[in-house]
Amino acid sequence: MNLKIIYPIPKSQSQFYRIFRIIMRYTFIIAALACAIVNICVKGKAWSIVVIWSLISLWQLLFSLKIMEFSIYSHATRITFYLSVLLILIDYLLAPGWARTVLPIVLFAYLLVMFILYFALRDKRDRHILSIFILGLFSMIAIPYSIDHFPITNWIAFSFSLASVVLFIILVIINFKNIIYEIKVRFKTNRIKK
Amino acid sequence: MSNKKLENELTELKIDLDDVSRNMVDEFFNELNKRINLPFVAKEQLINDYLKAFRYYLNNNYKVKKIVKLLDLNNLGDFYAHNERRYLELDNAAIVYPLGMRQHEMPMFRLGVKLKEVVCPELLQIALDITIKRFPGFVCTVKSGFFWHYLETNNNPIQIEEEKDIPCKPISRLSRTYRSFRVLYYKKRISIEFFHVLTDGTGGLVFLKTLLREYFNLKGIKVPIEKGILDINGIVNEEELENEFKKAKGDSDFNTFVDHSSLQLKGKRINAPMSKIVHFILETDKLKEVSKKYSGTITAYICAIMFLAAKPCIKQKEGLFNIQIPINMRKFNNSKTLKNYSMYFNASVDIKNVHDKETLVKEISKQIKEKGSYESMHKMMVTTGKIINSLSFVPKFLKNIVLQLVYGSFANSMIGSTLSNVGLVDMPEEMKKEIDMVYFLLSPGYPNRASATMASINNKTLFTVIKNSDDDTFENNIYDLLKEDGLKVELEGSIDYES
Repeated sequence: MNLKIIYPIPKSQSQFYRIFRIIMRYTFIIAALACAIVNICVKGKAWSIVVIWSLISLWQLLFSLKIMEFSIYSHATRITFYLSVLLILIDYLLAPGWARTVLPIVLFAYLLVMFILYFALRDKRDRHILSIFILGLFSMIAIPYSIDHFPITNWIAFSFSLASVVLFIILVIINFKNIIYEIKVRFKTNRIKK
Repeated sequence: MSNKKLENELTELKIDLDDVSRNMVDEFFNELNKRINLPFVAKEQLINDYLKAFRYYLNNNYKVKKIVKLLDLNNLGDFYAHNERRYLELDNAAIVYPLGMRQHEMPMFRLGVKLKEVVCPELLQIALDITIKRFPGFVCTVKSGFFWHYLETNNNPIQIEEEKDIPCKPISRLSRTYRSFRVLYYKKRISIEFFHVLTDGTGGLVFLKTLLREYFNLKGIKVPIEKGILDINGIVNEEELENEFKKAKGDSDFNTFVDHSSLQLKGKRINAPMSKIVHFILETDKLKEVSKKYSGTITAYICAIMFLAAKPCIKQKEGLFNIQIPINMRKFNNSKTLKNYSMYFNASVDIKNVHDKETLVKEISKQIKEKGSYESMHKMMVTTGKIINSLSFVPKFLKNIVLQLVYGSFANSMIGSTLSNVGLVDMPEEMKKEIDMVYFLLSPGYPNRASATMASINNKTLFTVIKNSDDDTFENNIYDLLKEDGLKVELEGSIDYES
């Protein structure tokens, strides 16, 4: 059976990424399990949770990109979310106090970058406002976090948190209509009323 | 024009023209500029499309007056002037696709035509620029809601691409103009690949025919608006965006979804949408005659051929082999929707009873009549609606987990192969004269090793087998079986993508 070839011959695709992804998946799983087992055996602080979360974060950010709606905004939001949770875990499980200063700085830095991008990339901003809004809301946790043990407040953290709030409020005011629209459509259930 | 490069190109375009023509060109591009209110890069892209088309015409000795008439800017309407964000829900058939998708997978299908002349990409691009405004359901990106995915319109222009890769490859979400379909050209072929969330074969054909009409118009071939072609300057009919499944009321039966698992063809699957394409080009008249000889329709006859060809490719000696046959629901109620509106049933035969064409055609015809009946399909639609309704308030991430487990392995394991027939593609005579063949491709879902499609035009039926396996026995058997019935078979296809 001889075929007349009518389709272009594709360039040979490198299988490197696919194979690398498979190897990394099993490496991560084995590493996570090994850490959990060793941690249980040697007891002490629950450092394995920090390691496992770090592995999950790396996997999600490098090897499991969003299938839908991948954008610079959504990816930055995801990075900040995983990093923030990691900092909170470190604070509670390993080194209390240290992350209390770093977390508000990270969240402020994120909001500042988003703020700049928002004005720089005019064409895309309206469509990605919800991811900024959600992480903006999340960043509000930095406030109670930074004023923990009041009145011995971490003033650096508190200042950054306050700056985040201001940035967030400005973004919400400018985008109030868009945010309402986004919330409406994102939470539609498509339910048929009987 | 704001861009220096475009300014220069425009100046270059006018070099050999007389003053009157120069003024006309200036007026044309000023008017174009006024009609576009897009982000900088997108605007540049659209103006560049028109510059290229203008150059193409000038190189082919068209007069400027004629060019301005052919590239009539009224065809752009105000589509690129207002960035309207419109929410469109996914229909009940589409809703499952993004939920069940894994990394590097996307359910895609391709519709295309082979023209009698080599495709002119400059004019195809303009045809696309002016056609998409009539299809708001297609100029969409898929977005993530809390409960479901949904579509949102986006008026950034879409660039046609030269075909270079394996057909039906997932659309890259990293692309700046990421959309849910792509238009490709290769030599004499124009193809459109759709992400299945947008539409089914019938909806896709309406888009293809409308795009082709505009392409031929730009080439100076007048084609009337008839036989499923839409007027690009007409008002969008809301019925075209309707989720027809929601209208289905009545009794449901969950059993309509559950079927016995199917045997699978042997062979190693490759990590790509397909491993090989084989087109069997048949004469429609002869095919009809042969099908009639066995007292069946073309679909029943080809389905029987597939069962016979599959038998030697299955390891097991007994057990059901299921071929999924989509049914276009529009034939029951003349719906105008361009969204998915097809249901499916499985033609099942125990592989130990697969012996001869006569018995098989009879059995399949009986099953098409019973399982493919309106009552049966309607029941399935009602059931789908009820299942989706009951999952309305379940957060999407939970549905994702369940469907990723169920959709890939469980649902597709009930299917051994698919036979999708878009039938005789009806087009105006003026268009038919310019077209040689119609192509239809559908990549086999996991764990299937083959799917098949059919489309006919100008007394040519293209029966296509799309493989995802390293075993050639199935298509070789089909060839022998068709030859056995005295059919003249021409063969076309792709290389083995695995090698």
